[in-house]
Amino acid sequence: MALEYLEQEPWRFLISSATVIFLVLNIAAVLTLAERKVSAYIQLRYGPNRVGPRGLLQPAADVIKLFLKENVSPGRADRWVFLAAPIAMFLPAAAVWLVIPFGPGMVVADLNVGLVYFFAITSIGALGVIMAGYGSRSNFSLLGALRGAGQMISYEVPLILSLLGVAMLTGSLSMVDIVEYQAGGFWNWIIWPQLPMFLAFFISGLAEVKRIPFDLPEGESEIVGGFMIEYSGMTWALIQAAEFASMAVMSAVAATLFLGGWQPPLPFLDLGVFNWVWLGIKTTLLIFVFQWIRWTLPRLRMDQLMDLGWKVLVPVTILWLFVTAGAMLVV
Amino acid sequence: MPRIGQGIAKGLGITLRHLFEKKVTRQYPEYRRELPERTRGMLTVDMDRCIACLQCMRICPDHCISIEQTKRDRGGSGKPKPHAVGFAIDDSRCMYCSLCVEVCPVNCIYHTEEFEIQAYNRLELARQFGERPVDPHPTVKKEKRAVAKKVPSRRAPATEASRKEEAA
Repeated sequence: MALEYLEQEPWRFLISSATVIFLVLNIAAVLTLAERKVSAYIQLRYGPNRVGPRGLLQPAADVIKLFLKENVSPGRADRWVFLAAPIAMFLPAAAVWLVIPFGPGMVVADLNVGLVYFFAITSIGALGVIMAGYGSRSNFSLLGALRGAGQMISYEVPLILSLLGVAMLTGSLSMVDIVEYQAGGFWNWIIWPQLPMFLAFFISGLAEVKRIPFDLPEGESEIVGGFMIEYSGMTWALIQAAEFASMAVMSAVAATLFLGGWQPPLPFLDLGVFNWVWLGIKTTLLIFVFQWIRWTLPRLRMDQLMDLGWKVLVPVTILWLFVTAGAMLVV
Repeated sequence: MPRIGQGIAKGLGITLRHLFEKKVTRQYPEYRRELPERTRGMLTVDMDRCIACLQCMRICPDHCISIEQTKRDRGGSGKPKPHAVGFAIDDSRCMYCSLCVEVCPVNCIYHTEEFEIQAYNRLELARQFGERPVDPHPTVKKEKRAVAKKVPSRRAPATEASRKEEAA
């Protein structure tokens, strides 16, 4: 075929990463509607249902509105840092998708250090929060940013520890290898031997993406928006998109590492090239759990947050690391 | 067995149950619920019954009623009585306190069941009821003067109508 050169290296990477960016932006837009719908249904409401059939065009209307809004920045803000912060928050959320395998052979970059890449990129998200808080030159922003820094750095530890078990079991840091390891049905998924690790990963993932039981950096009832208080228009939209995209990315990583990625739950459900449907279903379910938790639980206090991170999650993950190691020795 | 996460599980159960329950939202423009019997909607005036006593105008805390008063022989009794030639209710000010309705001696000002009112301009919210329009936004100072002029005290010089009457 004439289009075969598209599978050659520079083109393949450029096209697939453009596709991924497109996907991430759309996921963020769709998730705004999903969030509002889930919250509405939990609160016995209908949510947005006027724009388009059942409100499906609401994200488009929102995007148009946000594009038309003015970008206001505080007069004394550190303008470059202020404007760079939303980008510094959004790009990591988009970049993690590069190592996630969507199906057999469908991965933008099969890094042999995929897990390390994931850790490295997600910790840049904390930098974006700090930049936003510092650049706004507002007390509320700075408070939110300090909380965010403390929270995201301390939850990075259990996040990394909880994935070490996966790396030990599969003997590889590549996401593709980890998915291959879980082939053959849902009983082969890593979630079963690593259930406490999965819970720890999920909880620290919640904290890492600043979702509600851990939304202290935002803290809308006490510091009215925290680090994003001074943003408006598209810069604000980019921060929101970054939050939704990082929620999606956390779900996708959890699905890839613990729930078998694109592997079908039962062997006969293999869809071949369309196995990305399974990754989509698993990711969607996890995103729903994120939203479900958000509209159920109240926010933690700062000391409770630190207690949960350092006194519960870190010991549990270290303990289960030893259990995993012992089991691998015995079996 | 320690009860770790029991409260969280209970809360999640409740929210999950609500997710599938019947929704209570009323889709407003399509669905309108029946209004209660004594709904305080927008005010309206029955100008045929109005005796221009100005009590509603005086009691209104928001000064939303403006009346222009003259004397006219309506009943054909040969005796001119106060008559409202201009009557304006400014809905941008009205707070639906119902004081004017209570004070009206002939029950000519009353609430309707209309409550949907919108305009691009605040002046459009003032509704005129009389034969000729009245300025619905008189300043307070002007209003005082207007009242003093329009409501002649017994000693005040007679208006044109009464002078004619005297001559007759």
